[in-house]
Amino acid sequence: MKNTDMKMHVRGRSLFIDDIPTPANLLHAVLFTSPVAKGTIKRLDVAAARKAKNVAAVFTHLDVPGKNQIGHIIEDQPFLAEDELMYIGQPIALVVAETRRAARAACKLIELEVEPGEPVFDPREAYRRGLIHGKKRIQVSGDTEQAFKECRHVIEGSTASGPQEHYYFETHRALALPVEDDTLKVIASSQSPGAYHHHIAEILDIPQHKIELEIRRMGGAFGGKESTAVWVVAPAFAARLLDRPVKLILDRNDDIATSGKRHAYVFDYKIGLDAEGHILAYEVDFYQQAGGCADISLPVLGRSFLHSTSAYNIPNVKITAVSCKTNVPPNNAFRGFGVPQAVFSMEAALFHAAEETGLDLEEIKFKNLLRDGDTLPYGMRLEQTDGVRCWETLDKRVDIKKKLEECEQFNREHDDRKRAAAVQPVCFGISFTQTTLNQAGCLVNIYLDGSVAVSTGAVEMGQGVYSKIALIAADALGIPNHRVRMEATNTTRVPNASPTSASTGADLNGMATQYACRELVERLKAFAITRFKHDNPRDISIQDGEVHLMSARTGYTWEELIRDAYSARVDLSCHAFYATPGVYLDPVKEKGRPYAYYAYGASLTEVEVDCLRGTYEILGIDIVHDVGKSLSPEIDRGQIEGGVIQGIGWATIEQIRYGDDGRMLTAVNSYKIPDLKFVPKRFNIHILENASNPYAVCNSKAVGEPPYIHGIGSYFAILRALRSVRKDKPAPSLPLTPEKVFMYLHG
Amino acid sequence: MKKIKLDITVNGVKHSLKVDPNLRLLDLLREELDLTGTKEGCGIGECGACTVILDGKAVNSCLILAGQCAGREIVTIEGLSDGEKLHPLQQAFLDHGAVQCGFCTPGMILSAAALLHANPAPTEDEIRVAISGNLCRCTGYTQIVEAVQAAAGKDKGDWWLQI
Amino acid sequence: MKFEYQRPATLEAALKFLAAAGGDCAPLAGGTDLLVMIQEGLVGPRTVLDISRLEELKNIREEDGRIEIGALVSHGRAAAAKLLREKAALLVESCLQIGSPQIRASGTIGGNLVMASPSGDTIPALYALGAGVVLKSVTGTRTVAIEDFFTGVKKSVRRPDELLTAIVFPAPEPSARGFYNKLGQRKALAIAKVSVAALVTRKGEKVEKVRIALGAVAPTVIRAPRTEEYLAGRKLDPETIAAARSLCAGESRAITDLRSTAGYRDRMAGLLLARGLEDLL
Repeated sequence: MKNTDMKMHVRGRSLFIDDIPTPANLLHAVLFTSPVAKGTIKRLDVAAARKAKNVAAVFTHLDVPGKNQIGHIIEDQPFLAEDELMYIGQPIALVVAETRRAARAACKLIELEVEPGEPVFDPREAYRRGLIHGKKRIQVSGDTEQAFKECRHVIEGSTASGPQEHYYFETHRALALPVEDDTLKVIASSQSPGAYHHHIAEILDIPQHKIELEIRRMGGAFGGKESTAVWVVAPAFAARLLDRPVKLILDRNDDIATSGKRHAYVFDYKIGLDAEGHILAYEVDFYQQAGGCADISLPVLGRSFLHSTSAYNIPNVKITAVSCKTNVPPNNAFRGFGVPQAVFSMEAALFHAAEETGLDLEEIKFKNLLRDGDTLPYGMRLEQTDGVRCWETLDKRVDIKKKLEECEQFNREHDDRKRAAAVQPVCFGISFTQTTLNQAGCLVNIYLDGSVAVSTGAVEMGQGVYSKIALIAADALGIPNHRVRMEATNTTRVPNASPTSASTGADLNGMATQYACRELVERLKAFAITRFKHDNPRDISIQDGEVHLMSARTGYTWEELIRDAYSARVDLSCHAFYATPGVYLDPVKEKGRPYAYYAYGASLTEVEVDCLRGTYEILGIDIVHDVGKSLSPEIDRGQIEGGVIQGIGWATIEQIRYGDDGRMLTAVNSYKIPDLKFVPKRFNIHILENASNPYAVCNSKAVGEPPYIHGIGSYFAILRALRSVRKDKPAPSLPLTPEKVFMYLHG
Repeated sequence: MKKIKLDITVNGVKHSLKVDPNLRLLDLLREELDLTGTKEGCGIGECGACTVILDGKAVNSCLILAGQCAGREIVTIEGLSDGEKLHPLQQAFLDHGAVQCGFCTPGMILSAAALLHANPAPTEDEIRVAISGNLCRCTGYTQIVEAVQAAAGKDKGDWWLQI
Repeated sequence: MKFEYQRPATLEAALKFLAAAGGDCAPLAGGTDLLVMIQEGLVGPRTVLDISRLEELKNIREEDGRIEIGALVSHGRAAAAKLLREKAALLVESCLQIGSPQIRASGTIGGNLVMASPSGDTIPALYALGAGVVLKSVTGTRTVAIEDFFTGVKKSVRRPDELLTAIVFPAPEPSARGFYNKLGQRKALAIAKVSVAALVTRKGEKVEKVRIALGAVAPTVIRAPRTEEYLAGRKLDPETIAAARSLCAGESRAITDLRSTAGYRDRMAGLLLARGLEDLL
């Protein structure tokens, strides 16, 4: 099964936003943004910029007809700044000109006077000053205080994880086209059709039905295009006000400097074990580096909160979590959505505990893996867990103990090179934690010639969701795949769509598609029995594009069926809707059943550290991963590989540096994502066999985010190698860059 | 700025143009010739998304002025297939699931095509070196390497590169 | 980024144009650095003088014990050249460390020098080889020792009316061994955080002479004279190498920037030297 876009991609024929033929009269928009991390605007003068050559307009918040607001959850994020400046890169004015160059040049003519404030960049410091978004969240299950008294070992520590740049290849961008009757068509690179549609309407103060938002595909997104609507709203706003097409394309370095990142976190943990290594109690405090506005930080923190115990069963847990208002660009969603940070903290605590107690780390992990009947801190009782099976399958394939012994043997024989491995289990909850978002719509049209068009709210960003949905539709209708075409995601066909995120794109939209197709099949069967003068529609089926009666071929083709059904006035178009049943979370008690199911996995990452240089090589990674009954093993393998490599990048080489004033020093030439030479040559992916899942479409499981967690193993494998050299100082924070490795060993 | 006269061959087609002196090859292809298969990823030669083949060698079209290409031959992703028939590399990328979002794909395929043009039977290490200047954020690269290996095993035929 | 574009047909025409342009003219060789700088607004020449087609500057040859590399030889061509692979392997290694295959295909040896970045990959190797830089103008030709060529970050003694036309260096003695060691953030496409090149000539067991150059640890590539002096006349053994390592780290004058910290770079310079010397054992 091919990603449906692939055939165009390999020929360079697929149109991304900037490939759409340039409309006549096109204008280009560039944002003028805050040069300070905190301050108050004293004077803003755009007169000179407005008069500049080839400039069509310069807009400030005073020009916004509607609500000057793009806050995703909390209304604290003005579209264009009014007086308060909260981060470097915050949009202040929008310059629209005949060329991008002219717009950029005009930005330099804008006069801005700012009274500087005192910025805060450290999350703990922000918390101390009471600068937080939302409320501090606390979750208690069992009684940690009492449990710690009963523990043989109690270990406390702190650690931190860094930010990560999405580095989607297609930067933020959109093209807005005025159409007749004061309507607007916006073609955007966005993961959130519903939310962005709503933002545009609010800012312009026009009804949503006057805006058509279309998303054909994205050149990568990884969560980064789920919130912070400014780069889509801005050209739409300008196009409407100027009645001309407007395009906004964010420069690579502007994208890096002004868009959100994966949230950096600081953690304090305390873990208690009994003599045999059972984890009896765990406490953790999360300090989230959220940025100047809340954006999507609170839902991200919520997911960290719910995944704080990772893949382990811990009876007594106390978690506190705060989203700290620091003066950096608002951070946003990134594959894993807070889960990687929570898992890292848990694993750091376990690593620390194993070292302090002398207990075997892998034994602790295996012993405490979540099993059927275990209850998570938020009260959800688990069934059909596959974590243990993933671990055991991995063990059978690589012999974990032997692999670890081989590393130790190597280390006895080598002084300046050290090898180590780490095992990383995965348990990742699937569903939006925000229950409302667990809904999807679908529109299936069958045309007179028997061809089928499917529209859903899911957006394609390379993850293959269109292919999976097309497959589900063809399967449900009983016709060959090539008869189904996926339409671009468009608000006129499917309204109010949830973002394609939380790995739920295929789950939700696939299920809605299956419902719509089944409804159409019912209508067609009811019609077909009249043709065959048969009384029971259940005896009719459609297989491989042919009607079957009592499981026997009839020679009556899908195309003939559709033509006749049309003549008989059967409705050949169907909308359907799916809402995940039974998911909820009590916001006060922090208890409930927030996820429909969990995806599991286990992996072993092996590294070799060059102790003299501090450099390292990922020698290999062996993965066992649970995707339920795979909708497409080829797509799933691609998702697993890509997710793992992104996770390894976050854990190892991807580092962002800020100046003292909060300015991001890292640019495209200094931010390094994994390249071909960095990825391990031994990269074995084993999809867990005989896995199933009653809670998602066709018994599959979501695959977008869970594999990312395997990447965390690279951090702990490197750390283990370092600890084999010396243990007299604390473990470095994540990412464990070669420089940190060197300074750890020799600093 | 005084326009400069430019004769170039792109995908076997000769063009006589007058262009701005500051026009990059990337802009020439995308804006003047509507060959939008060549993508801009970073603009500074870091990512390889804009890779095209210039006189048989893979180059970053964001770092070459259109003027520098006078009298020279360029192959872009649009010129790789033979009409509707896919180049073996394009087919292999499809067969091996080497494509996700598609933004890096044209450049990646062209780097591989330049390699196979010079060296029809490369080793795995030679493949890895040849496409090391092309970043991909979606995949783990292994399916890409597999695809190039598979294509390299095919008969060279007479249409690896039509130059 | 507005500029006029000129492509002279001969070296002579190029030199005449430069002489007449009065400084506001940027020669374009491979363009891999210049075009980035123009786009980022770091330079804004009135004219870009495209010399990339001057075939007379694309030769590699050896004459009377001297190797000459034309300024417009691309890094890819230099790395593939038989003469250089046999006689200046460290230069070949430094060329292979540059950017990506795409950058190596366009970027030139001369361009890397003119850009005068302290992290230019080929520069330490050319220091170690004792290279000279040939500068031509309508008024004449001069050869400048490479160490005298650079005056600071992105600064050199090249006058605006001069073109760098070639790099020359004495062919190393057959017994000489060299290396180029680099540490970047990632294996491919990384600008040098720290790099070390050295060329060692031995007599019997002992080092007869050695030239060491450190990249990305000072405003220009620098030599490590105290380390060189220490090594001369000594046998390369683990103790000697360890001492050279710390001497070399002391000679490094790195700063902290967005890629790396000073202390790390200084120590890494010593280490990369030690690693290279060990490989010669």
